[in-house]
Amino acid sequence: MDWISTIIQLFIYPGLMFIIVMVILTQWYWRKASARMAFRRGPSRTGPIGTLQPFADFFKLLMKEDVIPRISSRHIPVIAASLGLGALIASVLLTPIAIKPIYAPYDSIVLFYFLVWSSLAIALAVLGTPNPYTNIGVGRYLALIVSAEPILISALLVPIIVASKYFNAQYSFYLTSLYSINLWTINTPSSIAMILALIAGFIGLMGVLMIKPFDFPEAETEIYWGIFTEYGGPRLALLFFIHFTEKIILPIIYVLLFLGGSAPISFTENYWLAVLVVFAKYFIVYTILCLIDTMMPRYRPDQAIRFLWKYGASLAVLALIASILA
Amino acid sequence: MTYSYINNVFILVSIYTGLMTLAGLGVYLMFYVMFKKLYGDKIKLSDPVKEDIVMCGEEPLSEDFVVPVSRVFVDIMSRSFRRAFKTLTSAMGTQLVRDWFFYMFIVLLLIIIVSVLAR
Repeated sequence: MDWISTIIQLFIYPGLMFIIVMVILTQWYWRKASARMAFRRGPSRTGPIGTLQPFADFFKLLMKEDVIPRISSRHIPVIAASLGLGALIASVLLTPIAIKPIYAPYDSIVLFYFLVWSSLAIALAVLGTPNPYTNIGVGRYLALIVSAEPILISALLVPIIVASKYFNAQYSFYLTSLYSINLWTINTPSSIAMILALIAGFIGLMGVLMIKPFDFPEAETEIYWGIFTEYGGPRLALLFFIHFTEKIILPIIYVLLFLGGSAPISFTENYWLAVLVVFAKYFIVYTILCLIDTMMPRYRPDQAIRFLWKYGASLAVLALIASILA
Repeated sequence: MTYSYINNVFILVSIYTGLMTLAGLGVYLMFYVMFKKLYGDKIKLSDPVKEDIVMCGEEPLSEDFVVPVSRVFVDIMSRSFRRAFKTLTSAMGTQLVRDWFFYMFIVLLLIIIVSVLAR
């Protein structure tokens, strides 16, 4: 393994610097699209057509004074948030969009572990403040994560199981994402499993990303800003950074496993064109998430949890059974 | 396109844990320590009021600060599955569902079942 190229990948492309650029671009897009749907203009002053507004907001938060509320944890929130971001950034090296991916049999376990880590990092970071609204937000967030994360992971397991059976993918996320376009047409049970997993995965994705109607952990009208209530300045910037990075990494994983990844272009044929195809598909998923988030009202916590277990979990279990029978 | 194939998942876990820590350290130094030293510390004003926890414009008493997160979690679960919760607590007389660890146990059990099925 070439350590220098790995570290360049980790910090430049497709790692930290690339993710910062993507966060700025996707946040601008999200804000502009949701504003247009509400007959507003959205960001338009900073940079060409407002593209640099998220950049300005992010650096404004970073340059503020770091106010730490009394009797709250000083170091744990920052360490948890940094490691959560580290987990998300490192997980990109498992995907084919990395120039030189590092993979192994059963690497999907590492991916799932990192995905859970980033959610837990948010919970751990916000638990460091004693504000009652924050604590209620964390209770809600944990209920959401405990319900949505198993659905998402079970759904992501389906293509990995099918690919391991038919293409000897060895439960590797990387190898599965190379064969994912072929998984839809192997046989009837595998097609059924993929359709069910596609729907369950999208429900789980919405839950983990706190897309409406599942955004009750940060319900502004009920509990101020929920999990983010007590934070401002650089700590809030780090938490937002994790949340926005999740909005990039999770839909990309979804595209790689369910929407055929780079198909019709293969990564071995033309790497950069394949990456462009993946990002084009990613922007379609991202736009759908943005549309849903703008249009939907918010569920009550009990309604959301019931929905996730009733529909999301049952679909994910059915998909898993179908994938085992395939 | 090139790649690095690692034959052993345990080595892969070690590599990725190292990469995660390295990336986390980079984020911590670049986006927290550096900006704090360059900007945050220079505009620091010591004022005890801004460190107070404020709720609806009032400062809550210290005993009100902490809302038990596990109770919020269990309350949401009990409202989500009212009938099952009622059956378990009233008819079967168990308080197991009021325990936070019960839910974590269920999640762990699900993970074990899924991993056994996936073999």
